[in-house]
Amino acid sequence: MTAYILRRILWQIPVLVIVGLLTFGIAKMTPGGPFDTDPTRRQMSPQVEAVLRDRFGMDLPFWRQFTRYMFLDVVTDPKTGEQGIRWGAIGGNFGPTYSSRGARTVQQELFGDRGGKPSRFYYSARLGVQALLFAVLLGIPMGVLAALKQNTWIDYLVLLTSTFFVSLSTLIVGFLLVLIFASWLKWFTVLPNWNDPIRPWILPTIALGSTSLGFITRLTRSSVLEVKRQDYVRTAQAKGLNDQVVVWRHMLKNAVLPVITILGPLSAALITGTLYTEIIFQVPGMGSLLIEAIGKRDYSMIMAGALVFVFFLGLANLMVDIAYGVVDPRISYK
Amino acid sequence: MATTARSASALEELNLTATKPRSLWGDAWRRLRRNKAAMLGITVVLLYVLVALAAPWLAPKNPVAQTSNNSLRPPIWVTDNPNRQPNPEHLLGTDTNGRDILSRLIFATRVSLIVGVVPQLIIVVIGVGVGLVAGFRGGWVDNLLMRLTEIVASFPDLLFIITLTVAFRETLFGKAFNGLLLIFTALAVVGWTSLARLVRGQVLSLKEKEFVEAARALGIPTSRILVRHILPNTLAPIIVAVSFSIPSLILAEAILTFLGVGMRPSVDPANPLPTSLGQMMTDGFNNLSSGPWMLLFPVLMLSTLVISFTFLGDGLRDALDPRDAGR
Repeated sequence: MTAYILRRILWQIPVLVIVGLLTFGIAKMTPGGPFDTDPTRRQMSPQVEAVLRDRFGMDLPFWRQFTRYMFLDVVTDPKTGEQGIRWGAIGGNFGPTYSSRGARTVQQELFGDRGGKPSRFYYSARLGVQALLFAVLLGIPMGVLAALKQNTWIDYLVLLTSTFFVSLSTLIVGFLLVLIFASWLKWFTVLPNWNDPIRPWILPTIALGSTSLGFITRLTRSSVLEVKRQDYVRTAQAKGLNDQVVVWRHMLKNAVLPVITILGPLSAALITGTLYTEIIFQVPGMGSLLIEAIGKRDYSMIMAGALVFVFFLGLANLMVDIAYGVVDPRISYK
Repeated sequence: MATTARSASALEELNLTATKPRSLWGDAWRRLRRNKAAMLGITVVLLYVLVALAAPWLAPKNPVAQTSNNSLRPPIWVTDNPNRQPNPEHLLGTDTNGRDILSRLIFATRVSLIVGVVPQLIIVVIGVGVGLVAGFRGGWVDNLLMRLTEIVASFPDLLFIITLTVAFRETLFGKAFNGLLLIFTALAVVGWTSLARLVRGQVLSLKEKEFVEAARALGIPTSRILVRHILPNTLAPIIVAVSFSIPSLILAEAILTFLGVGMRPSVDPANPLPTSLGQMMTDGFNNLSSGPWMLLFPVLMLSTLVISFTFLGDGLRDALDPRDAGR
């Protein structure tokens, strides 16, 4: 088990490096640099641009730019003349952002607090966790209920709603929620007030969690239906255990196993879903920051965003695998 | 004696009807036809295809024609705002530029359907190719291809597509067909991995089967075994995967356009693909308070299309793999 986890963590490193290389390469191929966004606006003076290009090392060869961003760079202290190592992305240093002309670093933008307000990362992470909890805590009971009441109207209703959620994706569900609850019923304001601890979170959480909710409900239902026919369930019923014990102790424990396996892919959907959920509901998180960065061709921010997203995706998959091994003792990792 | 002869012929007849050949596909089609949701899905999808093909004749107005003093008219049944009265010429109202929403919707279905089909074809070619080769050759080829698949798949797909579209958006390639060519390519480059894995898994189990061994023993060349013996047996799961992937491609176009890296709107009255549902939703979202109908109608159009594809996909899965039916 330990060896397996270790190998999985090690495999993450080449994945991250390749992802970094891809984004970096694509960003460099992009015509137009970060300092010449709009030709109609006032242009930067060539001297300033030269200083900036030097600061960002933009005239270095490609591989040097990449390694100093990704791994490390040997820097000389201008005052003491001592040489030291400055870590790159693998040390959590994503460098200065282009859009701030180097005044702020990417990690400050992503994780630092902004004048007393919580960080960008806090908003995205909280939204993601809430959405996942919403999906799991509502999806499993709904799936169990549908399976136990198979072929009744409850079952059909649950199936239909979950099919809608699965096929419509977060974008459409988000639009529908905005249209119904903000535009029509006016229960929520379109412009959220983030000082309120609960209200502005409700709609984005539902929208982001809806796809996962649909998947989890459908999967729980089908796996409970399969478990229901197993011999050990019949044995449990035959020896006179009451229904509650059979359902919660014997059936559910086996039925949730497949649900755990899809939490990995679902967290991928949740992570990318934050990109547009945050824009629809104007959440000041990492997703909306990243989209802004794309518009401004802020390479360092785009790359950092991609790396952070991929990192959390790998982490989520790893945690799912470990959880699976813990819950199901039949599984052994080699 | 006569009775025996007659009963024998009757028996023969019975036997004949009983052994009437029933192919996998015939069976599947029969099961599909009994599935009401799937038939509803097919009907709606075909309706959309018809609308897309006949768009120039169906649309009451030109989808990009602007008329002055006619912007943000509500649908004709919304009469409660005295400042904004509907214009009887525009059934579903107009947008901020006074363009007819209904006509725009009709033309927008074209882009949604094309986005569902064209990248899908490329995905099938790449995914099936990689899956067949990896599964059949095995060894280092398999290892290499699957590592590649894993890397592409480990990148959150939407993020990858966005990066690609941002990078090439300002190039000639990125501007072709209002940016649609770039979207197709990006969606295909990222989307083939799950199909490749699926096909590889199928091939791995199929190549151990006796009929493949028999074919190999007869000296049939590998390429022929792949195309004639293995590929047809992987077709059913491929069809199911494709039917589920089409709606996600349609949604991806809407998402990309909403994020500002998708299709570019056109103002050319002769353009056959002037707008997309994603474009209309983006416009609608940006004018949510003044004209919510601008968002509502494209959302309803897209939802109906996507749900119909899902019903069809569910039906196909149940029809082609009856072991899983009813789950």
